[in-house]
Amino acid sequence: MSAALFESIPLRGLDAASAERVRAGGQVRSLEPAEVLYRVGEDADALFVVVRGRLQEDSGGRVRVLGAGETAGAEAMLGLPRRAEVRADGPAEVCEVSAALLERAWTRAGGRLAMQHERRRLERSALDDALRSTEGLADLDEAARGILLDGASLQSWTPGATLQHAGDAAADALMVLDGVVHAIDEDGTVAHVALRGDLLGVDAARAEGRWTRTLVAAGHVRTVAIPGAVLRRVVASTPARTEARDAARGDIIALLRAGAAELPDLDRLERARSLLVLDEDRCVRCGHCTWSCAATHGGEPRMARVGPRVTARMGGEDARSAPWRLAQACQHCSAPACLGECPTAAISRDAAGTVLIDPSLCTGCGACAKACPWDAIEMSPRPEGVAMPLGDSPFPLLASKCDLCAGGAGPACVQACPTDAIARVQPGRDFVEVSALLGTRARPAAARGPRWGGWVATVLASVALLLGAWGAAQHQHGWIAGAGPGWVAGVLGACAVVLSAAHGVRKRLLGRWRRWTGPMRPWVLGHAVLGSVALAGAWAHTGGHAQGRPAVLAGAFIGCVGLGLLGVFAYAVLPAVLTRLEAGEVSARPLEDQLLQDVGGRAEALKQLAAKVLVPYARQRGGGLLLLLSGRSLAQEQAVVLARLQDRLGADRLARIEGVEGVVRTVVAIRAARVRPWVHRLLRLWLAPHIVLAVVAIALLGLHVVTGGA
Amino acid sequence: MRRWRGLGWLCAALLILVVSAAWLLRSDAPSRHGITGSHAAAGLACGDCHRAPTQTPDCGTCHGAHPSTRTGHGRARASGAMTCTSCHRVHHDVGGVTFSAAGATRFGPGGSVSVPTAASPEVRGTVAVVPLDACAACHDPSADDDPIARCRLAGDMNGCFDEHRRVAGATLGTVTGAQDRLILWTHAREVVARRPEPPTRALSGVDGFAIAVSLAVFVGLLVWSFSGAEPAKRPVATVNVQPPKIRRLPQIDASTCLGCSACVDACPYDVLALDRYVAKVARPEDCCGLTTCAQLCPNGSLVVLDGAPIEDRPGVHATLESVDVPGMFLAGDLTGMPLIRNAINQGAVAVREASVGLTPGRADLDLVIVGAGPAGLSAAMEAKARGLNFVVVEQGTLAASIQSFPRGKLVFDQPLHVPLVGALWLAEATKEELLRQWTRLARQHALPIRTEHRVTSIDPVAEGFAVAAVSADGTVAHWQAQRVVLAIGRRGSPRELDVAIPAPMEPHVHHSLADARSFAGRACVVVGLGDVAMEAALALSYAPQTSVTVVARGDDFRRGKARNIESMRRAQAQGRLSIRWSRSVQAVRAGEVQLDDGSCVPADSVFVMIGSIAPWSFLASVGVRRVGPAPAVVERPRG
Repeated sequence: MSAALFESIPLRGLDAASAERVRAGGQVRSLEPAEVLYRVGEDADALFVVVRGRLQEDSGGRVRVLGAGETAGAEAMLGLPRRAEVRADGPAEVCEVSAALLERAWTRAGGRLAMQHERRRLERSALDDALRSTEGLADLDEAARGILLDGASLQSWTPGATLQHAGDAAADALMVLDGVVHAIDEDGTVAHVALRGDLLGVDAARAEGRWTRTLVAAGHVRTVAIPGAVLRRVVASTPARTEARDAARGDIIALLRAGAAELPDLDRLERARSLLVLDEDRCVRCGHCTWSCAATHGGEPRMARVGPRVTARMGGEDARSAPWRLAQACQHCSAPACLGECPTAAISRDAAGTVLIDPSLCTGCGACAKACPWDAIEMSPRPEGVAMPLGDSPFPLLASKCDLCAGGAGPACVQACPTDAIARVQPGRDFVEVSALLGTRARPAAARGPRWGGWVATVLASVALLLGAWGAAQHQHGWIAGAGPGWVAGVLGACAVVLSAAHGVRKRLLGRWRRWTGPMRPWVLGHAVLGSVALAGAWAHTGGHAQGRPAVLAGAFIGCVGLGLLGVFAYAVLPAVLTRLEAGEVSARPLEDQLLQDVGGRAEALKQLAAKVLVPYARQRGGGLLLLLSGRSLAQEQAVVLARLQDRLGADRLARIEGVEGVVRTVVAIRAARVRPWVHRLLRLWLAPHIVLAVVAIALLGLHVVTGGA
Repeated sequence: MRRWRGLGWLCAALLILVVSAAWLLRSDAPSRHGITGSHAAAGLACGDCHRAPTQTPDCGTCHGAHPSTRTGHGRARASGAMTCTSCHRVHHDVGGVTFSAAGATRFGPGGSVSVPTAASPEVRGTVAVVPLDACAACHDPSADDDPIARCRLAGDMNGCFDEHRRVAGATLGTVTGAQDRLILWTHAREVVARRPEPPTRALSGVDGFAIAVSLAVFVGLLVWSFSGAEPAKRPVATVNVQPPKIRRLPQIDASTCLGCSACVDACPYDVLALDRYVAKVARPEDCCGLTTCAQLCPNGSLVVLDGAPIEDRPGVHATLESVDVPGMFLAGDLTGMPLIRNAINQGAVAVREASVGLTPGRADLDLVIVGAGPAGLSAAMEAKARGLNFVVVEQGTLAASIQSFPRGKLVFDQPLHVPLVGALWLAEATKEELLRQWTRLARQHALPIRTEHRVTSIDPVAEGFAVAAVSADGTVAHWQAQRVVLAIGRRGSPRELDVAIPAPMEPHVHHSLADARSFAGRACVVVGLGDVAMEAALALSYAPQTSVTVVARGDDFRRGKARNIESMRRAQAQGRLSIRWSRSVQAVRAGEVQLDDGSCVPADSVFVMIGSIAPWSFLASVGVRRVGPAPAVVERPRG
């Protein structure tokens, strides 16, 4: 980067440290004639200073030519998407400077007035767009719009900030530009949520009234404040009531929540571009996703299978509603909080929106990890060979997070899932409910691959087993093991055994020293089908009775395949059972502690109820098994327990005891927690004997082949 | 305990046992239905005898038909109760002696061995030796009057030379030539006497290998299933509990500071702040002198340097015993060494040292621990572990200082590398988790903690110390103990208003605010304008139907967090609260507070939040002095 560049308007007057960081974090790009630098609507993280040649900025027909030293793309400073299309006017060279870095540099240098005019122009244009698409403000005339734009101001809020307290005078109405706002009732419950484009407090601001609910930012929020006086001048009447929409929203949120205690994290669902979700009804909790992630990233996994749960349909209106666990992994936000916090611009986005960390720029300060609301960034030891930025930096940490397995054939976690339960989705597009909530367009096709694999495998396995049974019956009609079709069946079975074992060898042995790519699911299905073929072959080979050493082989073999089929059954049935027994959030807090906290400081009646009825219920011998067999989910069980309490105490008396619901929730959770490990064990238990028997069977098979059938 | 790898691998190990048992017990295994001895040598397979599953094998095809002619045997045969294999158990233990040109051979299920014999080479033929237990199905081999007594082998030899025909009869079908059976038998007896047991069949190489492998795999799996990573042991190292003697302060190179806020977030006492993306030392007086901030600075812009000596601390020996009062030990923040972790260590070390040289039964108690913060709790846990007779006296509640931390605050742990004694720590815990853990430990170990008891005096007596404390309801408690551990921290007690409080107002004068909503509908007066006072005033102003008046000594906001000041200004503009500048409280009466300008403010509750009095006066009263000159009373804002 030339020294002359630092004389351009945006970069002039920076202090030495800032200039050094801009130099390190920026890059010079050469453009071909007419090459497009960016288009309208793209993400904007950087602005461009023209080094050589000229650029043409086309904002909806208004064309501006930018010469050397001029700046394009300042909307990045406001966190807005591109508002114009810029292309090279002849060969050109531009310098790309991270907006977050520049913002820091300016602040350090003591603020910057030179860009204020440009800022204001962009802000106004963005506000204009936002107002045009807002219900009730869309059809204003130009004069009214001008007044509105002059009066309105942009505000931003950090997560958890209180926008307005209930009871405060409503001087301004608020329009949500970005993010999610919770309107909270006096008792602390979220009465409704406001999303992008919603107007809040118009009535109150017009009438100089007060806020009736406290508004809290659920994440990073930007709002436009429109003073009441301006509203009174330009808006003749209150915009159409939004109550119907609020009710519809409430319904959708209830669907997403599906009886869980916590509210779905709408902010997360809105921002996520590539959210890692696990279908809990299919997820067999095997951990392949995390292992493969760790294997891909030098032993440090960049995802964890924990997080809240939402219930949603993916892939169209007719799709099955499934409980999705939102895993802890980078979701490549549309407005990443980490990106703006990085002091050296080590975090950037590629054209597809994937958020990436450049290890050569990362100082390991951890600002991004703290900024991420979902803890998706982990500070891990800096691997050998990754240079320290800033020369002799003594800091041995490096920020690491999901990079969607850059350079691989897709994310390893998704590839490695044996049951196809895991997917990377954009909730606003792939989840029907979320897209309805956000008003975005749902994508009818599923984000996941074809779902017919399981059915094909089942049919193939069944056909193989039927053929095997037929072959076994033929032994009554002259088939023998040692020759003819019986012998051929045996050889076929042996081949199937060997091929089937390839899955295990690939996974357990080769996987240790070589990373395998490609989806796991076909291998698993193939393994199951080949196992069935092997069993069928053996059946047709022996005719159902073997003696001596072959009998032992047959026994080991049947045990191995039987355990495998048991595993298939467990994988098909148990995940849904587990899901039923799990609360929405996987919580690490000991439940007994939770119970004490639930009853602590409450009325004596609640303590008595807990001690005499609810704790014995929680600790009842075999209670977990009863819950498992009843087939009820935790929410349903809570309802049943509450109904039983009501029968016992009477509805009036129960209603007078405060905090019963919390205690019931906890005792039901305790009861479920006692049986859940056993379901987990059932999911795992078959595997080790299956592997050991497979090894035994293959060894005996080798012997059987070598000794020619003895 | 080692980690257990799981039931699955244990099941796999057991399965290996099952498989190897199946292998050993299979149909051709030597010990059961295998084809033995001469049959195997003749290359016979199962199907050669067992033509059909239900058919009795016909031995006569090869051996010639020569059924036993004894009357009893004949009857049994006729009834079907006896076949050839009743005596000649071909799959089990068939054996005998064969005479051939090469000499005598003793054969059995496991093969044959040559046995020296006196018989001439012309003696040819085979004599089957039937084990006595084969006869035992019908006969009693031990009875002398049983018919088989005559044909039993001599002595204890386990065998029977029964004959199929009487001795006077013809030769056996397999005996060639003219040798008499008697000669054959005589030599056979001699051979059997030399080699009583027939060769039993040894396990084949394959069997041995299979069994060895399966045993090895079984043991391996068993070890594997029970072995796992040993959980990391907590390093027990000598811990440094010596308070620093020199104040240390961070120095920041503004030209290289990245503005990443790593140091700001690391500081447990909010000493550092970020200003225009450059870190600065905002509250140097609160610096604890540890290097967490410097350790987390990614590019070395921040270093912690030594400054002036610290004089604001009591003198202690290396054992944490007070220099001034023998038998009194100090621990925790009080010693001038900050951080919860250090307090925990000091509490444990103080009790360890205090328990040295105790005389059993000299006083009611071995130990009185004053204060139930991190140091006091740790001391109590250590005392409990050492089986001391002790009591913990606390003026407020359990870990009151930690409870005043902001909600959800991460109580800092690494990367300080401070080794730890005691069980009080949780890695990376938030304040709530830590408090829960401590409450649980106190409950579990039934620690004798007297909360709401303020210690008024500690006097040296012959037995050690006499400790007096007054409880919240005014009753006075006394203890006598040989040693005292002071873990009272540096917060001291809240500063009181310098006016008399009438009795009806006493329950309505507070120094802290736990739950603003419980003051709904009340008129509240907050005295003070520090952060604690501002936060309380704001919380009260948002409770339903409260009226809040703040009485401030100054004429404007002078110190405090910018966020609090901004919120206060907003609340004032909104009319949520009113601030009476440059005023102080003249008198408190039932239902109102009179200010120094004579005006009265209605007051149902009064919050006095004008800082706290450091515990120096109390320390001085028990005889503990500071190491250097410093003002007699140090005022510190609370919080």
